[in-house]
Amino acid sequence: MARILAVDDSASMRQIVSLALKGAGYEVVMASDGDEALAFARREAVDLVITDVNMPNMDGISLVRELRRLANYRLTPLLMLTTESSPEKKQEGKLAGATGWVVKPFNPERLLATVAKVLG
Amino acid sequence: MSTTEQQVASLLAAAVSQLELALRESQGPADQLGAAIASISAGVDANMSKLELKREVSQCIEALQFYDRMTQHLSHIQNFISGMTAAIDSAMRGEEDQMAWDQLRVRLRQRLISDPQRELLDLLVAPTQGHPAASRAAQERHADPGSIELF
Repeated sequence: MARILAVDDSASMRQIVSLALKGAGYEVVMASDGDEALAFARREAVDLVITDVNMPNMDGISLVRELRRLANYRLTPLLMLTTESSPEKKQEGKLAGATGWVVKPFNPERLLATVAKVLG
Repeated sequence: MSTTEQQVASLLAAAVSQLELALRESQGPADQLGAAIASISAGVDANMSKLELKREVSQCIEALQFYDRMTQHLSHIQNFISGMTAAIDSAMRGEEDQMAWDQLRVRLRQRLISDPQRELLDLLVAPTQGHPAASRAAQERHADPGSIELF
């Protein structure tokens, strides 16, 4: 089963995302901000990254930009999971290389359907 | 009441209303979470089917996100009040700047995460006429909570 990196500075959100994904059989690894996620990505590959936008140290959009620079993350699906919903922010994410934009609070079934779709 | 005092009064009223809305918006999900947990508890005793159990857990997952949403909303209101403090400080030093007040309003509006939050702010603190940033923000269409878009 696919391995997913979940990035959010909120411990409760990391638990919630992990619960939703593990329930569907995915392996989940977690990071609490962009810095931690990028350090992990430099060592190991995953099949999908789901990241919040507003985080300390390194925000989600910067993380996406940095991940796209890594050879083994150029084609990895990168989903933003965030309360941010403005068109400008979405466009920023898209230009940085995000695969999709999920506005919190997410519906678990819809998220899982999207995850399945981007994982092909 | 001076223009500055009126602006401060309306922005304070807006902050108070946003706090009330934050509390109100979290009540529904908290109740939903309680009901789902109660259902699971009863269902475990009554040998609830796996499918029904999964459905209730899914409800819990969705409702539990209210905490994250509420803390973000409160954080935006906190930043807004800090911005107001700075603007009042400037006004008291005679450095009144109408654009600063409008920008404060626009900044808060951009960070709000639901239509009810934005509509409430617009009701209490209307954008200054002819201010392009304020009217753009007023017309901005935000994605609905729970929406998913693949690029």
